[in-house]
Amino acid sequence: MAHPPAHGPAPAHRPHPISAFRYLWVWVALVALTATTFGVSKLPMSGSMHLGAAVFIACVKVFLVASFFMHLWGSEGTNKLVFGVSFVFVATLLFFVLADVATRFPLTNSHIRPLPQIDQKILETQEPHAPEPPAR
Amino acid sequence: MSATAARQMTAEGYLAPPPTPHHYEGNPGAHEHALRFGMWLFLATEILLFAGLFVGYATFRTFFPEAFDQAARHLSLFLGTLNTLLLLTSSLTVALAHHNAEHGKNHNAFWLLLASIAMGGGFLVIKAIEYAEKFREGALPGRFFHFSEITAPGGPMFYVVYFFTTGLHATHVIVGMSLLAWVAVRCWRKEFSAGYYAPVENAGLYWHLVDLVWIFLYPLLYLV
Repeated sequence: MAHPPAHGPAPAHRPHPISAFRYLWVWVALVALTATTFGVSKLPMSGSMHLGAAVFIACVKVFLVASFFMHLWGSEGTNKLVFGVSFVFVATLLFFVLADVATRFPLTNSHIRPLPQIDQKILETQEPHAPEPPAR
Repeated sequence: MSATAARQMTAEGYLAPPPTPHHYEGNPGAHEHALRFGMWLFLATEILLFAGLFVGYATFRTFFPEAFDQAARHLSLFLGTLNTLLLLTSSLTVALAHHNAEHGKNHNAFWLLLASIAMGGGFLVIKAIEYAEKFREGALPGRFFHFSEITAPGGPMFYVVYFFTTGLHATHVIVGMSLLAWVAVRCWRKEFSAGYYAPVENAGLYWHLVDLVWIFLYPLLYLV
C-alpha cells in the first residue's frame, strides 16, 4: 500500500486511483443483492434458514459498502482493524446473550409462555385443610 | 464563518484550506490519516450503539417468534424496499461527491450532495408515512398497543424494537443530512481540492454508516 513513510515529508495527497465507474458497478451489485434478499425471502424455507440467508446477504452488502464506498479497501490498516474488531465485539455480545436466552429453563420464561391451566377438578377433590388447633 | 472570510484563495482558485496543526507540519499524510482514523473510531462506537438494539431484537424475537412473524407481515414491504433503494443510491451519490471533491470538482460535488440530501429527505417522508399507518392501526409499543390483527403474545415488544431501531436510525439520517448540507455549502464555496477534502470524506463515512445500519434493519424487520 502507498503509505507515507513515518519520517520525513510525505506527499499531501494520494488520490484514490479509482474510476467513478467502479462506484456505479458497486451500486449495481448492491441493488442486485437487495433484489436477491427480497427474492430469497419468498422461497419456502424454514425460519432459521431465512434468517441466515438474510444476514449473510446483508454482510456481503456491508462488505461492498465498507470496502468501496467507504474506501476501506486499500485504506490504512488501523481503520480496518477498528472496523473489523467492532463487528467481532457485536458478534460476541449477540452470541452470549442469545446463548443465554435460548437455553433458559422454560419456567424462567413463564411470563411469555402461559402457565398450564390448573385442572379445577383437582382442587375440588382436595380435602379442605383441617382447622388449626387454637393457640393457647 | 469569520475564519473562512479571512482565508485566502489559492493560485488554483480554491479557498485555502485551514492551517495544518503544527505537530503535523511536514507530514500532511499523517494528518489525513489521523482525521480518517478518528472518524473510524467514532463509527465503531456507533456500531456498538446499534449493537445493543440488535441484541434486543434477537432476544425478543427468540421470546416471541409468532408475534414477530405476524408483525413483520404487517409492515409495508414495498415502502421498506423503496427506502432501501433510496439509501443505497444516496450512498452512491455521496461516494461520487467525495470522488469529485477529491479531484477539485466542487461544483459537481455540490449537486451530488444535494441529490443525496434529497434522497435522505425522501427516506424520512416514506418513514413518516409508515409511522402514521402504525399509529392509525394502534400497532404501538407497550400499553399503547391495540392492534387486533396480532394475536400472538409479545406484539407490543415487536413495536418497541421497531420504533426504537428505526427511530434511532431516522435520527441518524437527520444528522447525516445536516452534515452533508454543511459540506455542500463548503463545496459551493469551492473549499475542497486534492490537498484538502477530509470534511467531505468524513461526512460521507457517517452517511455510509447510516446506510450500513439500514442494510441490516431492512431484512430483519421486513423480510424474515
